Amino acid sequence: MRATVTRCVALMLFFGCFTTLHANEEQGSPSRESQLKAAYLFNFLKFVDWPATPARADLLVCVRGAPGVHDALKRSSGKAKIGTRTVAVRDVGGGQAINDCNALYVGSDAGPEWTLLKAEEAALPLLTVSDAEGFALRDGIIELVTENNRLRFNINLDNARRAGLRISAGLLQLAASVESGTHK
Amino acid sequence: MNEMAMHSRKFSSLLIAVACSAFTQAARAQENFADLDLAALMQMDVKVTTVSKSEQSIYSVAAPIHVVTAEDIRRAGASSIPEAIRLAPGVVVAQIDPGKWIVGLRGFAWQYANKALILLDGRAVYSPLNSSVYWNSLDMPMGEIERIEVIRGPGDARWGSHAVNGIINIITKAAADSQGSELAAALDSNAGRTLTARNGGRIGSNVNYRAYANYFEQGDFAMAPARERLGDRSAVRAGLRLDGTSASGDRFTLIGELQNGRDTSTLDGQSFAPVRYDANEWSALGRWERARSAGVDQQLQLSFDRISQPFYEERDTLDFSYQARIEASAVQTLTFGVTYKHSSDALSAAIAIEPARMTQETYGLFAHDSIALGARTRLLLGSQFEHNRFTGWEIQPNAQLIHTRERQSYWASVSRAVRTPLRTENGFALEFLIAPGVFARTQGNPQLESEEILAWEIGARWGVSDALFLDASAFYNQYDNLILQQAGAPIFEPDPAPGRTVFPAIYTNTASGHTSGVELALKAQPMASWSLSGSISLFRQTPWQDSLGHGLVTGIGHQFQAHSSAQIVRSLQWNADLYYTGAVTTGDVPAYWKFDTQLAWFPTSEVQVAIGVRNAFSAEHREAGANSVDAVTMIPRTAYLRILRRF
Repeated sequence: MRATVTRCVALMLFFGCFTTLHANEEQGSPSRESQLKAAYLFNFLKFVDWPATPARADLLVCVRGAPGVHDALKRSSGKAKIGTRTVAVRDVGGGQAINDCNALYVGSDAGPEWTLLKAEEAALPLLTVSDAEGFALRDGIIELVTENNRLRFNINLDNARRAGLRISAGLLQLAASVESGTHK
Repeated sequence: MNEMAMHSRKFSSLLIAVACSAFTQAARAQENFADLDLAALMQMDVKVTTVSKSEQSIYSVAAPIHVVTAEDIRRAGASSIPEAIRLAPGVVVAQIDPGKWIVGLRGFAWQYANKALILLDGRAVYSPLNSSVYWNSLDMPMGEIERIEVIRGPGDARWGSHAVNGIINIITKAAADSQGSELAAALDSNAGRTLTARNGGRIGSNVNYRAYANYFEQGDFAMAPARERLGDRSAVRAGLRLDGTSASGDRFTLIGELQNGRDTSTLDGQSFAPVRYDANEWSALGRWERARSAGVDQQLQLSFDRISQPFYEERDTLDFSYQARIEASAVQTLTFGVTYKHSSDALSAAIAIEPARMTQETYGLFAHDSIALGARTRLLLGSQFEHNRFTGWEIQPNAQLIHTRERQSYWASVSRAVRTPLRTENGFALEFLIAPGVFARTQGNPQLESEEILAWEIGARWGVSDALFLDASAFYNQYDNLILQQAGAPIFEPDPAPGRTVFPAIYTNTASGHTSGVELALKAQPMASWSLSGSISLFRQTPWQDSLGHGLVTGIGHQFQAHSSAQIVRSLQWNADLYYTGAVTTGDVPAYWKFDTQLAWFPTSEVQVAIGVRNAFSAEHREAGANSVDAVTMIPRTAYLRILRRF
């Protein structure tokens, strides 16, 4: 019996090493919270109309400062379709261009300098989403809020209009609050 | 034996494929949120709950917690709640017969395990009679379950006496999480058949509902060693759940369940004659929650349930709890609440416990303070003050210290907990004739004090990478005042003539001792399409026995389990679960391996088909022995087929 247990321990240790080796090559699963946020983001896309001429055939979702959300998006982006458009994901945490993005997710853990949108960013036809506190009260369009352990969201319609986006009533109904007017 | 060895060899390569790690990460549950719509997503918890009922990320919980998710349950092919609980590390689950189970934590695993608290949606479901959980009637369609949280170690400081060695909280799905219609059917090689219909939808804009109806039947297993089979068991069950949100953001939940169960698979412990159980049972639960951004959360829950177990008892229980959480300052969060339970029973004449009817009221209050000591370290202090009918006030304090870093946490905890005396221990009055004029008498003791435990625990969690998560904990439990039967001196009773001699065995607070153990769990994802998890639980105890040699059947050996889930192709998933259970310390249940495997096919997003085998290694094995009061059956190899169709 003791020998059997020892063998199991050895096996487990072996597999532990094995999986660690793989860890750098394969992405593990993002946290439940990140997966949820990514799923929200996918759903938001269904409710948004971008200005007439699409720059790209697919929908490009860019992520800044939220590696977990980025990974979660990446995992399901292959399968997901918004209307007829497939979804692509780009990490723009290193300062990559966001001109051709359709949506931008900004992680709150990236620090305040990241969650404040630059004026030129706020003017792009870009659905901006963040879990940073007060995001939708400033320049952002959708702010994710954790309330009682559930995710809720606030929408700033003025900021959406400024970006040239149309958000359908279905989404507005589900929002915890809809702001119109920025409070700087 | 040879056959077993052959099987073992045959499966050894398989074994290597699944051998790995244990886990504990709810946060890493492989749920596919991407397929859910917003209404469903809005009902999903961001983080897991229970340890102090306020919800916390797993890294900040100063207790060993494991969450069995709905997905874990599906993959393991579990068809009953105890089978699902078996997926958690450090838990002892042993099947006695098709409807009876032993579920224990950190030792003390026998049929009437009295040191683990089982909760269903936050409502305690054990009976104060003998601490039984009537698993035959607690069952429900597995699709109703959102998750099962298993917390090892004392939870008395929050949940009151009985959570001495741990808490198992079964949480059902929110209505919004199961919208649409679903039909599920299952067949197995042991004459098992189930059919479940479910419908979920919306009433107005703020209320979601779900209703289900379920029929289930199962054949009996052969008894060990008599090979006799008794009748089958069956049940019809129905349930309804409503979840709503008011205009002010308050949330309310109503859950109602009822069932009619029939069981002819059980032998009477005294007469060894088959007994037919007919159980008509129902429960209703209402919950109200208010979360305010100003830093006060409140929750109020009221529930009623009726259990009807003909051989044992009929019992009505009313349960009330209120809790509030206040962010008192930047560094302190205060949680406090009150609990009240009113439980009245009418015992079956067959079990000889006095008085035959009793009402027990238990009320208490609890308060916990979480104090930040710097940015990464928190001290949690709390206690439950609870009053019960048998021993009066009991104080159950707890102190925890936790240090968290990015993807790491280290914690230590010390708790005092008690287990209050049971109805049986208080009022047993059972006599057996052992020779003409000579009787043995099992006698309750109204003077009993509570059993006490002082528990020391340490643990660590480490997210090594995105693909590897480790969880380790160690414990040392000192038990005092343990309740055991003590043989008294023979008494001669002259009345009635011609008199008789009685050998009494009286429940007394006589034993003390300790248990200790180490639990290691890990979860790994070598590839996006392949996940592994596993655990090892090592357990030691000082030997203890009563003077009758009955012993405290604490009985577990070391345990090991490994799970593998691989997405072979897009629509095909292969799952394998391997369990090792060491010999029970009383020596009458040999160590055994258990291997379950399943192939699941998802032809479309609306259809799931699964075929599988439970206990594939051997034609039959035994899981319970002296730690069971009811007759023990052999647990057979079972093949099953399941089909689920969504509309």
